Order: sequence, then C-alpha cells, then structure tokens
Amino acid sequence: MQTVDVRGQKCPVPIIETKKTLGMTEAGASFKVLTDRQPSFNNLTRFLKDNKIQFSSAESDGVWTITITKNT
Amino acid sequence: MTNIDLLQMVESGGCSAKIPAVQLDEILRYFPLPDDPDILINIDTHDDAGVYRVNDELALVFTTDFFPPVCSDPYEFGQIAAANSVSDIYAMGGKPVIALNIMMFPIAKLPAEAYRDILKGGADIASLAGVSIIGGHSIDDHTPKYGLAVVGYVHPRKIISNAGARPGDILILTKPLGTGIILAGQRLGLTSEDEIDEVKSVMKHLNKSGADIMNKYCIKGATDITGFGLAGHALKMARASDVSITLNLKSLPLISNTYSITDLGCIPGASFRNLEYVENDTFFDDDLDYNLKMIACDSQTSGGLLMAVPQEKSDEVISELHKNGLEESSKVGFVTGKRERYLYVNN
Repeated sequence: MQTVDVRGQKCPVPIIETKKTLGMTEAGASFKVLTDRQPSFNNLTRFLKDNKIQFSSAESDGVWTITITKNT
Repeated sequence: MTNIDLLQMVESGGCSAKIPAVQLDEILRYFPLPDDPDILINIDTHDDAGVYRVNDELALVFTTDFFPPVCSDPYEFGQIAAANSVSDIYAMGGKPVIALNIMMFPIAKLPAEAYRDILKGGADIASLAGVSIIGGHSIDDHTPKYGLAVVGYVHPRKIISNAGARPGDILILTKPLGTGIILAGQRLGLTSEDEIDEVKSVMKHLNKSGADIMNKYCIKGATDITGFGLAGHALKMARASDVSITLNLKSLPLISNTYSITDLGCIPGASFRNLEYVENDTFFDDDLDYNLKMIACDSQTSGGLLMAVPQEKSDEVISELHKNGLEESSKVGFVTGKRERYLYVNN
C-alpha cells in the first residue's frame, strides 16, 4: 500500500499531498498518510469527512496513520 | 543592500496568526465589561473597534491591529499592515485621525533599514488615509510584527456597527476573497508573481472609498472582513444584529486563481478553525461546493467591507463602489429576520 509521509509538514501540505494521491489512486484502492502533528491530523480528517471519503486512523508514539480508501 | 525576505521569519502571517475565535471567546468571557454610559460600543458585540462618546457631537473610535509579515518586502509589509489597522475605523463609519506604531523587530538579526522601510510603508499609507502617526512603541522580538493603534472621529448618531444589519438588507462585499489561500500557496510555490502582486494590491487598498460611500448612503450596518473570514464575520454581524444572514457563495468575488489553488487542497489551518467557529450556528446547504465553503472561511488580511445595504439603495451603492476603485464589489447575500440559525450558506 502506498504511503504518503507528511511528518513534520504543516497544513496545508498534508491535504495537498492527500488530494494529489487520491487523484492518482484507483477507485476502491487504499493508501496511508502519516502525520505527527495534531492540527494536521484534525484538519485532514475533517477534510475527508466533509468530502465523504472513507478512512480509518490509529495513533502510535505521536504519529497518526490515516488509511484512506478511494470511493468507488 | 542585502535582499531581505521577511517571509523567511514567519510561520503564519497576517490575520491568519490570530488566536482562534473559539479560544478567544472562552478567555474573554471571564472579563466583566466596563460600565460607563459613554462607552457606545464595546467588545460585547465583537465589533471592529470600541467607540467612546466625548460629547453629543463627537465620539472616538479606537482600535489596534498588528501581525507578522504577509510578504517578503518590508516596505510593502508596512503598507499592508497599516491599511489593515485603519480599516476598523472605516468599518465603523469613522474618520481616522491619529495613530501609534506598534513594532516587534529582531534588531540583531535584520538590518535596521528593514525596520525603517516597514515604518515608511506604514507612514505612506497613513498619510493617504489622512492619519498622523504621532508616536509608537517597539520591542526586540524574533518574528517581526507591525501594525497601528488608531483613533478616529465619528458622530455618535452616525456610527456604523455590525449590530446595524436589518431584515431586507442586501450584503455587499467590497474586495475579492482569497488572501489567506494565496499567501499559503505562495509559501509552497503554487502561485505566480501576478497572483502575488494582485493579492498585495488588494491588501494595500484602503477601505476609505467604501467608507465614504457608506456614509453618503447612510448605511447603518457593516464590518470589515479579516481573520475570521467572510463566514466568521457574517456570523458575528448576524448575532450582533439579531438577524439571520444568507450567503450565496457563487456570487463571491475572488482573487484570480483562488478557486483553482483551493482545489489543489491548499486550505490553510485558519480556515478549519473558522469553520469550527461558525458551524454550530450555521446551516450549510447539502450540495455546497466544498472549495467555495472553505474560501468563505478563509482568513483575510486587510479584507473588504461587508455592508448591509437597504435593498432600494443596493444597485446605486454597487455602482458607486465600482466607479470608486472597488470594481470587484458584489452582492454576496442578504439579511432576514432571525431564523433557526444565524447563518445560511448556499451555492
């Protein structure tokens, strides 16, 4: 699974990179986004919710992994 | 002279650097408001400036605003910060008169000429506004920050406030939106020189002609659009006026390419904070264009005036604004009696 590593990057970079990757991902396929910034996690998950994009997330040692599945 | 790039020294510039409104409200609610009949407008209605009555013919409008750099060039930063500071006086229908400089500057890290150029930019805009800068205060600090504390005059019966919107009024916005998005895009190399020049020219533009037209047409309700974005300031206006406001996002005037840069995902953190601030009191239409929704929440630096204009005057006001250097002025919504929510946002 492709991983978009935006650790250390502030908004709007995580959303830009996520949107770019979504554009290149086939419908039904998934990829991961890694961020170590709480505001970036909050903004990115808000963006995904508002755009009705499926995702799940988990936090470990200050790093959030967001697994995003492109809608079919 | 060495090339000075102020943007190298900031994380978030302009009004995006404001403390989030939700947190600010929480802090301020513990402070009792001073009780004095001559205080005509205080923070209670979240207006742009405080107003204090001196006598029946004269009141003072008092405001301050300062922020970190929004552009690389010190002179232009000074111009933008000053235009932004004076704007709160215009939004209240006042005539700005005197001001003090407020400066935080890393004197050991940047050449003194940068300091001088910031002040020169501020002084030139103040002069255009007819304001005399009569002093100031400076602090040695890592990130440069600059702005003015401004005093203006207003007749106590001619105050324009964000509590003056009335059902039936049409909302007119006098400057295009997108400064926060374009400035964030600039840091990431997503914008062209032309877009940066356009955004700087929007931010330097004084709200003076807009204020003159408000006074000519006896407008009662207005605010200027800054850190809380169009949606945030419209909500504050609706609450203060105890009305509901409907915004039509397809009518928003935008700085060139704001939409396409937003569509890349270039949505600054401040837009999410503003969205959080407004959403409990706002009804967002189900099929709202997401990019336009986030543009409505985009934090503006030195944004335009949002005027509540009686419908029968609105065409004439728009045409005057267009003739007076505010060609992008547009009708962006309307005011109704209080409905279930304060703010309604449609495409």
